[in-house]
Amino acid sequence: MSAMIDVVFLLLVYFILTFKIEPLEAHMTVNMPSPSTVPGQPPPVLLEVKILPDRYVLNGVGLTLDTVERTIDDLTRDDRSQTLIIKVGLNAKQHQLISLLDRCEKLDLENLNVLTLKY
Amino acid sequence: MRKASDLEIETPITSMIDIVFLLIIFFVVTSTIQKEAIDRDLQLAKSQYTDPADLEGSKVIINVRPGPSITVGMQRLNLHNLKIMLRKLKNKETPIVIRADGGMTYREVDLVMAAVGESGMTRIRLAASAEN
Repeated sequence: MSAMIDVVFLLLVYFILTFKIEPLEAHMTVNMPSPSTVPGQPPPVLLEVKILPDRYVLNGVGLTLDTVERTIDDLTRDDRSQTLIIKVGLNAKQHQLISLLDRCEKLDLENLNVLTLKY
Repeated sequence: MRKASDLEIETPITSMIDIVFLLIIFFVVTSTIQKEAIDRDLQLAKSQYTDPADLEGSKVIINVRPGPSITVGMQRLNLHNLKIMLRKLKNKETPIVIRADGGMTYREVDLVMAAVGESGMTRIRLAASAEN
C-alpha cells in the first residue's frame, strides 16, 4: 500500500509543479479581402482609418487613438453596423492595430475590415 | 500441514500500480502537448474592452514571433508549409486565431494574414491579452 501512496504523492508533486493558469485572451474578429485575382469594384467607403507608425489617420486627418475613438463614436452613433475599413501601414506596430480593434469593440462596431497599405 | 483457508488471498497490487502509473504518464504527456498550442513567451498587445475568449474548442492557433517565426501546436512552420497545412483543412469556417507579438511590425503579421487568406480560410481572429 505504501508504494501506491508514493506514486500518488509523486503525481501530486508533478501536477503542482506543472500547473499553469490559463492566460486570459481576447480574440478579435476581422474581415479580410477575399483572395480573388480579378480586382472587383471597391465598396463604397464610409469610414476609413489608416494606421501609420506614429499616428492614426481618419478621413485624411492625423489623430491620436482617443480622438479616433471619439470621432468614430460620433460618426457611427446612428448605425453601429457601418463598415469600418482599417488600412494598416507595413511599418505600423501590431499593438496599434489591436488597440484600435479594442476601441471598436468598445463601440460595438462589428464590420471591421483590415487591409494592408503597401507602403 | 496448513489448511487452504489459512492462506492469505492478496490482489497483485504492485503490477496494478505499474499499469496505472503508465496510463497516467500517457495522459499527462498527451494533455501537455495540446496545451502548448499557446506560446506563452509571446507578449500580446493588451486589450481593455474586449471580452475574454474561450481558448478551448476547435480552432487553429497560429503563434507568430518576430521574424516571422510561425509555430502551430509546437511545430515550426514556414509560410509555405502553413499554407499547405491550412489548405488541407476541410472546414474553411474553422476560426484561425493569429497570436502575434504586440511589438512586431505589421509587415510581418501581414505575411501570415495573407497566407491564411490565400488558403481560403474566412474566419480570422487576432489575439490580444485580456489580463489587467
